[in-house]
Formats: sequence, structure tokens, C-alpha cells
Amino acid sequence: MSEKDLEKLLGGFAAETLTAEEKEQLYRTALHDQALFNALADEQALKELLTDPTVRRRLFEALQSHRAERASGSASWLDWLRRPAGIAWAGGLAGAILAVVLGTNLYQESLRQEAQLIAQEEARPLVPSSPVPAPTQSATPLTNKPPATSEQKSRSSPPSLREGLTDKRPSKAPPSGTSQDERRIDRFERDAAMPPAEAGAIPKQTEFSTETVITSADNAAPQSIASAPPPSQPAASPLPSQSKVDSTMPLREGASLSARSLFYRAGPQSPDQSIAPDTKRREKAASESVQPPGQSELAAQSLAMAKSKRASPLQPVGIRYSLALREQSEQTHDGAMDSAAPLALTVESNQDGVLQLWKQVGPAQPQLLFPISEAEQLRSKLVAHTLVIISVPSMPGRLILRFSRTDRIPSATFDSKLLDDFSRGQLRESVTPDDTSSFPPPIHYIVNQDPSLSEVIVHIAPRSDEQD
Amino acid sequence: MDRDQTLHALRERILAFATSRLSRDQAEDLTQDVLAVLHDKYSDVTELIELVPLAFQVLRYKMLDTHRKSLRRGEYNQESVEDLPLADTSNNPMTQLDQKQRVDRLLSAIAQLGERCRKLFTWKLEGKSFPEIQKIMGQSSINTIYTWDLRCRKQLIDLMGGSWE
Repeated sequence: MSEKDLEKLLGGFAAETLTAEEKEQLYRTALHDQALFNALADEQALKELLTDPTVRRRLFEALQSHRAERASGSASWLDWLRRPAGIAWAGGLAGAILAVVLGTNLYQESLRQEAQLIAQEEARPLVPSSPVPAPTQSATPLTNKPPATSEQKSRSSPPSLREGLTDKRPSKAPPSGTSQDERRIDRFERDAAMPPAEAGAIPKQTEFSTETVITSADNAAPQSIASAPPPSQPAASPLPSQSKVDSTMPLREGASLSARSLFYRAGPQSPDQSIAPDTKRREKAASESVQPPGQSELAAQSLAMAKSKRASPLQPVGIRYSLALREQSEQTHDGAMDSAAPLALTVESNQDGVLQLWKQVGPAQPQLLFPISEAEQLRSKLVAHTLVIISVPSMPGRLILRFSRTDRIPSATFDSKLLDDFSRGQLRESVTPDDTSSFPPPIHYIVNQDPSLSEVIVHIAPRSDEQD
Repeated sequence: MDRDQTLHALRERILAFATSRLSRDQAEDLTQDVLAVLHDKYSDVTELIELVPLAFQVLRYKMLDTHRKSLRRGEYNQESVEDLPLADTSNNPMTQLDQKQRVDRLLSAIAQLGERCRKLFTWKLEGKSFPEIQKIMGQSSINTIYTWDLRCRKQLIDLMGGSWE
């Protein structure tokens, strides 16, 4: 140790803990170093204190007690925790920490679930808001409709529904040589293919007649209608495009529930025994009437109307028809010229049943026009949503359509009172396709509001504007 | 170094020290008194490591006596000797109080020391030398113990007001 570092031995000098070697070196240096000597002289005061056994013991006890206090300092924490206030503080702190942790976890979990839902929503394919029956394999090639235009796509109806409709109507124009009946059927089907809900959203352009609407809006989706096979048709008179037909499909004024929608809507699935007693009474009275058959010609079209669903028993009975003037060059379905039947009545029912056409002139008893022959007897049995074209001779008076979903319908007589009975509570709606090139006749929908009624009877007054 | 050489060196160091604290005349008188005690009472003490600490102890006593005489004679306040009480050679209460106050200050200062310093002070009170403390503290160099002890001593004397008195 150098003489300069001998100052470090001063602490040992006061406590007399220096070794003999350290003392020799320190004292020898102090005899020549006045500063070190002065430091040793000053340190003598402390050495005097530490030499006193009493003072030494007190200092030692003080140091030991201080160490014991330090050691007991950790134990005091345990004592503090054992107190009620300490326990309360510790419990409250632990609860707060637990609440924060749980809250954080719940928040993160909710965020994760929300992210999963969003991911699922994004991954889920678009589903149309209303079910559209898929066209059958046989129906697709039979359609004869142009594609939808941009105007059509901009409507408020769901795109998938629109696509479903356009799929059923290819853009291919009907070939030339299509017969008048087939064009009528085509126009008839175009009107049928248009869903009532969609029709309700289209501004009215042409309206033939308006009937009263009583019930609420109809949300039922229309049934898909298959078209007849497109025979030849003159190219000079192409059918109007689908967009034009759709955009100009007339509506009933303020109709939220229309005969047209009821015509296509499926009724509740309930048995037939729920038919009201008064309805049975009227049917019984009607079955007692007998009417001799009249002359008529049937030009039934087997349209292969593949319906995705059949009418339920309690679906309101309804028919739709249009009466058009036959062209002179038009032939019947069997190729025979029918010069005596200038009118063509196209009829479609929404249920299976039996159809009759009566003719009444003045107050005389109605005469049966259809079915007369045995072949017409078979054709008079309608299948739901299958078109039947009946050739009607031009004659004064009025026509009476009678359709019953029951197989038993008297053909001998027709009780005129039934016309009044069944006319009550009927919903009527007439739509006119926007076919300006050929002035199409309006299509009439007649539907019983009472689903328990099994018949629908409507009288037709041929007018000059119902011509093709 | 023999005893005479040691005493000669001691005389120079004591005179210089006393001169820094007292007047020159008092310093020479004090130095002469210290050497007289060493020569008359401790003539058998010849070893350096015994004679030097003995000289420091005698010097301290003589310094305290000189202060007491000066105080008694009124050299600090110029009071009349007749007005001062007679001197008591035994430990008077003033001396006892002074020692008690120094001990209290020392205890208070030690309580403020750090853990290492208290441990060092404790081990020194237990009579452990620096090499032994080095072993206890597990230090490879004893200079580390010297340095730690020097810092603790300076901290302690600062806590006591800069002097052990």
C-alpha cells in the first residue's frame, strides 16, 4: 500500500482492528507525514469512544437492533395484511384486477365473435330474398323471351329474382311462323311469369280494369310458368322484349293484394273438410242445374306447364283468361279452318278442376258451349296453370266461365243465381301487356277471396277492344 | 527506528499539530508535556506500534487539559480567575455530558449509514481485522475493503458534523 493510500487504514486505527503489519506501516508513515499524523490525532477522539466498553456495547446493540428492525420490516407486511383493513384493501385490489382482466377478455371475445360473424357474412353467398322456382328442363327451351335490359336491372327487385326470371326467358326471338294461339299463349305466359310482387313495384302504364282490393299485401312468390314450344312466327312482328313487357305490366291501382297475386299464391295446407257449409249448399244447388250442351271448339294447348308447386286445397280458386279475336288465316290446333269461331278464349286455372263455358243471350237460359264432344270433355279437365284455348263463335250475348275444382259439375243446366252468388267476394284484376305492335287483349284474373269456395264463375262480355 | 528516533519524530509531528490548534507557546508547552509523560511514565514502551498510539492518546489528553485550563483561566472570555469555580480533577458532569452527546451523535450517525457500512462497523466493533472482513465479505482484494471502509468513515464523520468531537 502506498503512503497515499494509508489514509484508508484510519478506520482500523479507531477500532483497533489493524494488524501489526498495518500498524507498523501506518505509524511509520505518520511519523513522516504530518497530514496523516493530524488525521490519526483527530481519529483519536473516536478511538477513545470506541475504547470505552460501555459505548462500544451501546453501539453494537444499536447496530444489532437496527438489523433486527430491518428483518422485522418484511414481517410487518404480513402483519399489515392480516389486519381487516389490509385484507379489505387486498381483496378490493384483487377484485379490481380480476374485473379488468375479465372485462378485457370479454371485450376481446366479443370482438373476435363479431369478426367471425362478419367473416361468415362475407363468405356467405348471396341468397335471393324471395324464392324463385327453378325452371324445369323442359320449360327452358320452350321460353321465348328476350333478355333483360339495363332498365330492368335497375329496378328494386332482387337481382337473383331478376336473373331467375330472365333465365326462364331466353333472349332468342320467336321464330317466324308462330301461330296466333301460340303468340297468345306466349303473351299469356309472359304475364304469368311476372311475379305479382314485382309487378307491384312497377309503375302502371296500361290498365284495363280495376277491382277492389281488401286484404293486405301479397308476398307470395309467383309460380314459374313454362312456355309453349316456340313455333314459327313472322319476323315482321316480333314479340316485345321482356324488359318492355315487365316495365309496362299494368297494375291495379293501389293494390297491395291483387287477384293476380292471389291467383299465384299457394294457400294454407289444410284439409278440404274446412269448406264452409254455405259453400257446400251453393255447390249442391249448382249441381242440380242441367243445361244442354252447345257448340264450341277446343284448341287446347298442351303447354307442359311444369309447376314447381301445386295449389293447396284451400288456395283461393281463381282463373285467368283473355279473349282475343282470331285472325282469318289462323287455323285451329288440328289444322281445320274455323271461320265460325272468330274469338279465342285462353283460360288458365290455378288449381286442377273442370272448366265449362256457357253462352247466354238475353234472359234466356245459358247454353253450354264447352265441353260438347267427348274430346272436349277430356280437355275440360284442367290442370293447374295449364293453358286452354277455346274457340268461341261470334254471337251476341255474354259468355259465362265456370270452373270448379271438383270433378262433378253439372253440364245440363246453369242456374243464373249462381252467377250472383259466386260473383260476390271475387277479386278481379285486368292487365294489358304493352304490346303496342299488336294491341294485345287484356288478361283478366278472377279469384275467390273465400278459399273455401270450390267454384269460380265469371261472365264475359265480348267487346271490340278485346281483340288481338 | 529506535525509541529516541521515534520520540524525535513524534516531537516534530506533535508540535506541528498543536501549533495548528493552539498558539505557538501553548503548542511548545503541550509538546513538552506529552514527551515528558512518554519519557517519565512510559519509558518501557519502545515499539513503534505501541509508542505512537500512546503518544496520540497523551496528546489528546493534554489538548483537552489545555482547553480546560484556557477556559478556566478565562483566556476565551477574559473572565476573572476569582469568579471561576475551583477545578475538579475527576470526571465532571460537563465532561460526562460531552461524552454522552458525542455518543448520541455517533449512534444517530451510524443509524443513517448504509447496510454495508453498518456491517463493516459492526465487524470492526467485534474486533475483526480487515483481512477477516475481506473473507467475510468474500472480496478477492483487501483494497476493496479499505476503500469501502474509508468511504464509510467519511460518511460517518460527515453525519457527525465533520468532527468526532
